[in-house]
Amino acid sequence: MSDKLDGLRTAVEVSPENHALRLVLAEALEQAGEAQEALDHFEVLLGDDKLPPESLVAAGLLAVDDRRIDLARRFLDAAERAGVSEHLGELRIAIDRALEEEGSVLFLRQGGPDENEPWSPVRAEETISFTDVGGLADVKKAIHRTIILPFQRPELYEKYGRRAGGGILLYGPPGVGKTMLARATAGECGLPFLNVRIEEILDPYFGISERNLHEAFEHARLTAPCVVFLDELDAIAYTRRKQQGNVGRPLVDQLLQELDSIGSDNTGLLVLAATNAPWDVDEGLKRPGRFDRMVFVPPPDEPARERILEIHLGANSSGVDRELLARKTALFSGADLRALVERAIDAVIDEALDAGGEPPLTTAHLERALAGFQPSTLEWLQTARNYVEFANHGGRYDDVAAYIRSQPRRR
Amino acid sequence: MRTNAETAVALASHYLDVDQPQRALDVLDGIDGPDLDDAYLWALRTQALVDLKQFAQAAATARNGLSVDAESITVLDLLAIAEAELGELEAAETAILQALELEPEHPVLLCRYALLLARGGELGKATRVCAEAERIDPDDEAVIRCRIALAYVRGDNKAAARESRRLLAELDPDDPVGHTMLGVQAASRGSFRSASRHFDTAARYDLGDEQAVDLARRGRIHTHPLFWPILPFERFGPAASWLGAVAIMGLLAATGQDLLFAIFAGTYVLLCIYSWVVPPLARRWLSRERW
Repeated sequence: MSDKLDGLRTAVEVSPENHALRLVLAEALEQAGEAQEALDHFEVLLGDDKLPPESLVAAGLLAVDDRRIDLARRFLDAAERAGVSEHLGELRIAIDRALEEEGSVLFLRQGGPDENEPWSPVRAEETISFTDVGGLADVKKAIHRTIILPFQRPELYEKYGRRAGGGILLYGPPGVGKTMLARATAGECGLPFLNVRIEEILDPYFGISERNLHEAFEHARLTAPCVVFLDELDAIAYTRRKQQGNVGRPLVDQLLQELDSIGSDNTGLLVLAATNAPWDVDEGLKRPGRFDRMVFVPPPDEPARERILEIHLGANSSGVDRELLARKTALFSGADLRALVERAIDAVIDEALDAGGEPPLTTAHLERALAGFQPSTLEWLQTARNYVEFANHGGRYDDVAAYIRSQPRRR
Repeated sequence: MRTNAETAVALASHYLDVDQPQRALDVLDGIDGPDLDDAYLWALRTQALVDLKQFAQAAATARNGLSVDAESITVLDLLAIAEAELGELEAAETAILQALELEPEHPVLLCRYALLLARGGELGKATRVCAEAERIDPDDEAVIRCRIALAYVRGDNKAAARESRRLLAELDPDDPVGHTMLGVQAASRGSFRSASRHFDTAARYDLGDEQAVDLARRGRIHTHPLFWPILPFERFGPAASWLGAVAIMGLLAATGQDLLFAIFAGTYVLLCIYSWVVPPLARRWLSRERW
């Protein structure tokens, strides 16, 4: 090996412009553990713009290992310019970590072609537990059985050849607490919660959105075991059949690739997603191995509404008959209940301004606010009913159908 | 460096692509200051309002956009749509003609103009303008849709169906307009089963579209077994059915077939009573609303 290296060194000295030869030498040196010398040659090739794109990330990782962070960043920049996507996130995170160890603060992830722009990576957010989510006993039970138990008792599932992880899609009307449930699920599993938001993914420049999504998943893989949460899945992965432009299609393809863990390992990665419009989510994502489990999150039930009212009323809750109001607010979402309380409080403030003093918030105020207040979930349920009637393939929306049937008829 | 406005515009544009105009509008609401001097931003806002069917606001927004860039074809086109929906056909025509002055060979604008003319009753001129668009790009989706609409306005169901089949074959096999047109044509032939299938497919494309869903529901009702006995009335129309029955009865009476005459006349009367009483009751029973 040493003879071969010596021969190559001599050849490069004789013919320094032979880039192919220099690359062979650099790779041979890398294999031989001569990182420093290998990096010197990689640096020459980079300077001459002759380092092939597929070698850029490997060279960057080697530079990180050798603590030559500035050089690693140059490899990273070149890889980005060359449009390399494979393992790019790994390199970024490796550089981030190396810099953190050195006490530096920087953000390497970028939101566009501008290299100076900071882009903070997806960070673990605070989790909560199921006790923080009022009501929804059936949904919690379903989540416990399908999501939490496989994480808490992996041996039981392994025994039957069932792997933990996979994707679960939470769907329901807006404002019913799907995001909160996802956060609570992460808390119950004791896992970090990584929230991937569409505004952090989308970028006007071609190919950057897909790269951002890939990097979010790469980051999650390094953090695993963890919960990755994709909010507004219908916006990230809108059905390709109905997309007006072609801009969103590559993003759907990228997400499919990430979920199928092509070229990566998704072990320990639990992907949760939420959507108001499961019917607008690309069919490819609902196939086995992806988001094959769909959990319907209905509007809060009566005990949950009472609890939500208590939270929103805060110090004003003492003079209010919450039980009565909970009974009268069937189909109201958490967001609707908040709006209702705000409306009632506005009326009390008006009273205070007109008559003076500090009148207390009463049940009557809330009942007056309730007059003419239509729950925002109605429109969603109306549309959902159409899907139950016309497009309930394989009983996909049976939970919604059962919920609709359980509700009293509205005129 | 990407600005907040750039991010918002990217996000809003994506939301419009994925048919979420309200979210697009919410994002655009966060933009103010010098960023509002971008005509594209106004075009996005107008598009969102048009998609939300808030046409008065859309027209006002489009005018704001034109004060930034008077030659924005997208904004002029959207202004024409909004004005037409508000029933202001003249204002719509002015906007579209302004756009056509800038881009006279734009098939989408020409088609929009043709449809406006058709709405104003100028069917001949509309057909000529549509033909001009077709000459420029015969395979443009807007051209095919325009031809379907004009055929429908002319009352030429066969031509509308022919163009619809082309739309389904060449552009999108699930296109709701294509299926609705084929459904209408099938229903006019009395083929309610086929019509119902087309209406179902059209509705499934967007089950949030209550009009399409209503059509599909009505299609399903008409294929219910309770409606089978009256299918001949639906197929040939009440007048033709009545004349046919009278002719047959006359023939049977003239040839001395008294028993057959009595059976036929009795059956016909029963069918008539059935056609008056059962359909309204069946419709009410089958379309009972839960919400």
